[in-house]
Amino acid sequence: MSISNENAAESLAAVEDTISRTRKAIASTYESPFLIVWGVVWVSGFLGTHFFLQWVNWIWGFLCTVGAAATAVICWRQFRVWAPTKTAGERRMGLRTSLFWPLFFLYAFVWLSIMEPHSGIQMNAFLCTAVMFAYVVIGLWFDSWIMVFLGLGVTASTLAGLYLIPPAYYCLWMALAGGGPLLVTGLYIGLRWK
Amino acid sequence: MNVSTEEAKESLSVVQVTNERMHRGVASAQARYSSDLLVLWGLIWLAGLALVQFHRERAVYILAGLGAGALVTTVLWIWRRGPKQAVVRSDASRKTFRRVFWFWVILNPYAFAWILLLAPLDALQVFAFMCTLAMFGFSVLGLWFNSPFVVVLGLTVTAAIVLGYLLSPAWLYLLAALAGGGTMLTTGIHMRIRWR
Amino acid sequence: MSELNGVIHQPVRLRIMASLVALDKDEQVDFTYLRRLLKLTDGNLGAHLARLEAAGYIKIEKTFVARKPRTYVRATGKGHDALHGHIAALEQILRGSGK
Repeated sequence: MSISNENAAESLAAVEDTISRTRKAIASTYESPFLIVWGVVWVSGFLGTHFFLQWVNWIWGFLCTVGAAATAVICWRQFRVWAPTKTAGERRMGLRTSLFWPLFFLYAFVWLSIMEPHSGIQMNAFLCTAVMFAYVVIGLWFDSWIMVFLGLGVTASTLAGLYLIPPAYYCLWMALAGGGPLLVTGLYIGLRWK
Repeated sequence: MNVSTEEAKESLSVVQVTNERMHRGVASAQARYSSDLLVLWGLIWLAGLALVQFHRERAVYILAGLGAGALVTTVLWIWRRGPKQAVVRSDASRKTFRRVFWFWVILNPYAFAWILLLAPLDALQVFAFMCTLAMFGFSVLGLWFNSPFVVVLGLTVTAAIVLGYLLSPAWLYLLAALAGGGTMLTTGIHMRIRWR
Repeated sequence: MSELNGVIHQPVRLRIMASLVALDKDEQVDFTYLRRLLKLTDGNLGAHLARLEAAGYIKIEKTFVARKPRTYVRATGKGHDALHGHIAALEQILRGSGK
């Protein structure tokens, strides 16, 4: 069988296109719901903190519980659809991925215990950048560049908020420049990459 | 083409033996070149931090030397024994190598940003944080590459460092030398023995 | 029904193919490493590889690493199929003999 250079180039382009579409479909199914949930948590948490600072612990306690419960539900639903079609090896891989988050939060707790932040804003900026670092790690692990760039971008905007924005507007900034990108990215890949 | 049953049996056994030898050989070659790096890092960490314990006044220079030593060693390793020199190569392994490389690279600016962000911190806090961060990297790679041994080792060393920091800060450097450096050495040696 | 493959049945080529299909489909192995693994000479391995390449069962890639020439070898999809077909034929012979 012989094919011309043009045909070969077309076939290669078709293969590339299929890979890119598959990648986007996977991101749309698996990443988008989590980004939307945590985007909503960040936006409402930071807006709530800006306007009702006296209730900060209640606001974040409530939102994080809701976020964690929503994450568990999404994980469970995805697992039910995904697991039966996968091999034992792929299921073990899924288990290892889900162990990453407890491992990460354990370390975040260790780091906070060692470094003992002096103020609420320090602690907040540390936690936000730490979670974004976890996004970068997950992105590298699963070859998801959107997660890597999102993590790095929100890290940069958190640091900018900490050093360049007056402390009184930090939470407002984080709602827009921290939670906003999570929510917008989640919505974008959920709607456009189906 | 005529083949007797004896010959067919022999051919099948040749296929199976060669196939297994290739699997084992490749795994062993790959483990050997990763373990070289771990053994080197382990030795640098062990010797360097033990030195800091007994020469605290020169801690900054020793730690800077350690960092530079680890960096030069890594660059030399990548150059001499990196993926280009691997006996088996593929797009997938090149990509994995690149992702692990970026993971370690990105860990550094984050560590730097967190130290600045949570300032003021004393030397011991920074030291304990850096050690546990390295162990976090270690544990994540254990999860990534499906090695429970590495995950458990990373967590155990972290626990030892945190306990040392809380209970016996005066001996933290020596403890980290033994726990951290010892871990890398043990893992390197474990990999070499397992995949001999 | 699978048939024996004359090119692959030769003992050295059978070992070469068996070692190459042990790798993932996009993996290539270093020529020197393969020679050591199979305990062959340069000339012997080279000649058998050329025969397998002519049949389209393997692909040989010559490249430079740190300015030194290196040769990598991998089994093609056709090579994977051919070896599996040959193995199936050998198994049929064994089954036919009742062993």
